[in-house]
Amino acid sequence: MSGRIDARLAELKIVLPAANAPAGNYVPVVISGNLAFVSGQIPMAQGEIKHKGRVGVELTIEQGQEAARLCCINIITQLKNALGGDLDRVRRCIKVGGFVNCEAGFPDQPKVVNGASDLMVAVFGDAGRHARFAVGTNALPFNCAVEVEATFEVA
Amino acid sequence: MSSVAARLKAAGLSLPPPMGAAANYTPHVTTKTADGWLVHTAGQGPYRDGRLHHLGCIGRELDLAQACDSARLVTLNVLTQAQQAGRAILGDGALGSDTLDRALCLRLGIFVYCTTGFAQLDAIADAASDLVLTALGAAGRHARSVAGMPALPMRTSVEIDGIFLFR
Repeated sequence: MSGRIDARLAELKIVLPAANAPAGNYVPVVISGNLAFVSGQIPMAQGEIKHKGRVGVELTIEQGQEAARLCCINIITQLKNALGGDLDRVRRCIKVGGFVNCEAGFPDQPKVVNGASDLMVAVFGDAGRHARFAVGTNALPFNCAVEVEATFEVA
Repeated sequence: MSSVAARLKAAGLSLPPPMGAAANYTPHVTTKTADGWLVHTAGQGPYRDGRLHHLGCIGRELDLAQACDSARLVTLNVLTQAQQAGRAILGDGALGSDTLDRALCLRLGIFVYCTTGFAQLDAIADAASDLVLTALGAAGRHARSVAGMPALPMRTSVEIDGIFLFR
């Protein structure tokens, strides 16, 4: 199926990967009514984790932003899968939650998570504008640099 | 029935003016659902008079009392954002009263910048939860999660996001 958002992804030269299986006993997306909750995604591409380590220590802020962008691509992939392939059913990105692997006192989580937020707006336009939280953590699954979750309104 | 504004006033509190977003996101998002308007606020910080207060690590730079002050100030900012969303939904002066009188608080997510192993997260979260109950009464009964973090944006001591339902 190819729609308006698929065309936008192609314009942005983004190829959605195959949806990753959950890393544990949970599901990638839950849809209830017109809300879709996407589980935390990590910076996977070509079947491997691209960005491991702490942003601000082993990784630069720019690498952290790229990791957040990859997380967002995986969120869109999971959502597309859950919507039967039709991303045009997305009415709005409601909320993004960003967890940044960093050392104590690192202050720049907002810059890092912008990697995800900027892509969400690039793909969905005004409908991609969301509320969010961004926080630092001292450990993420598989030593990922960033984990991002999101909530959407869908039709 | 007492209003949110009256309850806050009785407690000697007032809502701060709304802060904009610190990065590429919006302070609140509203979704129409079968039950009413669902409002998600972005994570808020301890803003007053246009700047962040209570910066630093709880357990090292800030004590428990300061942490609770920070959590209350953040919660007031969350309520301000919910109020802004409510005004957009219901119009200013809906029912001749504050739009928060039409709000249920469903959930708070509370992130605390603290030392490793800091043991009083529940007291800090209660400072936030108690304030929501003070402001909204029974409509303020919410679910919550609280977690200690080694770092928060701009060295903010407490960050809280909220989910509200307007009917």
